[in-house]
Amino acid sequence: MNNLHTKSKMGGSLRAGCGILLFILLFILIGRLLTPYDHLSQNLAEALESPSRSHWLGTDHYGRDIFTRLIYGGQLTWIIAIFATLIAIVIGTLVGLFTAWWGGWFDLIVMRLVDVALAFPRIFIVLLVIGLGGSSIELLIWLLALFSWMETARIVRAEVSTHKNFAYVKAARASGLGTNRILFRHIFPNIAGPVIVSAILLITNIILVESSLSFLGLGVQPPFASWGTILNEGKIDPLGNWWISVPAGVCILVTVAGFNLIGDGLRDLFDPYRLN
Amino acid sequence: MANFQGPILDVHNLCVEYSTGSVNLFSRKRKSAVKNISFQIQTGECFAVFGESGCGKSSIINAILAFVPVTKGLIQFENQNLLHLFSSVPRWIRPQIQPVFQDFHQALNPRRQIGSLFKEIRSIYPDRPDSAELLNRVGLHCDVLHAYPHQLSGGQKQRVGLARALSTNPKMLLLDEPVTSQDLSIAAQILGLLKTLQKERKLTFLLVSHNFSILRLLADQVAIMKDGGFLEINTPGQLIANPQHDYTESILKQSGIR
Ligand SMILES: Nc1ncnc2c1ncn2[C@@H]1O[C@H](COP(=O)(O)OP(=O)(O)OP(=O)(O)O)[C@@H](O)[C@H]1O
Ligand SMILES: [Mg+2]
Repeated sequence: MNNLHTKSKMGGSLRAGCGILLFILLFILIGRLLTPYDHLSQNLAEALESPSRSHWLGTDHYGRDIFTRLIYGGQLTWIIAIFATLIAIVIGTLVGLFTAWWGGWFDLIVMRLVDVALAFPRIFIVLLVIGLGGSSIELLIWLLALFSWMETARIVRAEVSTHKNFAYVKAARASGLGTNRILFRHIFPNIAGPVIVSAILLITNIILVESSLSFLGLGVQPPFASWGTILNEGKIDPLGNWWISVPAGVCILVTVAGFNLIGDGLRDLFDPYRLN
Repeated sequence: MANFQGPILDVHNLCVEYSTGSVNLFSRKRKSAVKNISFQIQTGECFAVFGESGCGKSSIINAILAFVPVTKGLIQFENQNLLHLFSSVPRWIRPQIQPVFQDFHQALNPRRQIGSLFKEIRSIYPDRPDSAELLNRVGLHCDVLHAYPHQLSGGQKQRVGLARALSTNPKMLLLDEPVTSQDLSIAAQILGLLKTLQKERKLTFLLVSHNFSILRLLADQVAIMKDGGFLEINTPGQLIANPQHDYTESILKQSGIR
């Protein structure tokens, strides 16, 4: 009875998360069909208008339509987050697979480097690089990725160390299959669950870090905007011009909540001790 | 190689130690599981290891396959050294020595259909026997090819493991408790199959078991193992008639043999 209850609940959080993200995706992908404005062209005559029938969410200091900017800002936020997460997951998975497989000194040295990387004041380094080198979208993606793969590497390494000693892997080795084949075709499918969960948790984290950087003026640079940049543009008079930053904040919050719900749902789903 | 002379497997002074956690950064706690074991197996022979649970039987098999750290000793297969610098069995020798593992529940990849295992092996060794035929030989229907491991019973998994081991056309099988979860008729069928294979292909076995009555049906030589070492090696008949150690006598008595 208890079981049935928890089971329907976790299906629920998965479904709710998917619903939320689907809604946001529809908004940023086909939302521009709903608005006649351009996200970059300025119209100072209509600057800082509050929400109205012609500008649903009002305009900013340059007279740009906020609703339109949220749509394009969302696209940028998602693109940066997805690419950074993909790169981080690929690096983390490869490092985890090979450190666990080869073990010994290679494992020891690489994992100590991971510890060092984790102990580094990462935000500080990001600030330093961007402060010195200027910000571009590509740089932002690589920085976010390079500072996020370590957790995945640890998870993958732990999983592979367990599977390495299972008889099915020993049998595959004994029959003469190559290392790559065993790692990617035999072991990886068995650990894909935890990797997917860590990807979901990673993407929420990366969205938050990117938004913070953009809010601080170090991420996406105007006139282009991510949700964090828009948040920044509203900070001159947050109470007076609430319509600039509040919707951007809500978008970030809702997206992150959506991913978290999915992460929770998947973690329960992939739990090996779950009763079928 | 067909007319290879001398022992197919020659194990000399084998020692296996496991590290069980570290004392500090530079020294580790070690547990010795196999101590100075030597034996030879002739082509077409069945060599059996008999001993209580935890005495180190599986460790011998894992050492031959280079899955555990060998601290000392020599293992030769047809005069070729199996223990190399990076402690991995040379790739071309691997298909010739095939294991059937004791923990058969883990011996099949849970995410893969049985058929894909055989397909994969045939993709690297194209001249190997047909999977349906192999399954037939171990008494399984070829429907099993489309099943996932969790859809099979323990005994069926064990037989798939045996078929998988045979699929590379090995010269030697390492059998770790090969019939533990079979009912008597199927156990007899598998033992019969192993006997036939032994005759037909001059297949060599290293058989490990804690069940003497199964072991004596196949074994030409039996080693009595205790705490990681061999006490004596003899034919099963001689061991029963004329045990050299008190331990041999008592353990055979416990098994209801004497
Ligand atoms: N990976 C390992 N790490 C540390 N100790 C191990 C490891 N594998 C086995 N041992 C120890 O080595 C000893 C021998 O183990 P082994 O698996 O060879 O026994 P066995 O004779 O096959 O027993 P059984 O009949 O129960 O299978 C045991 O005491 C066990 O605790
Ligand atoms: Mg064992």
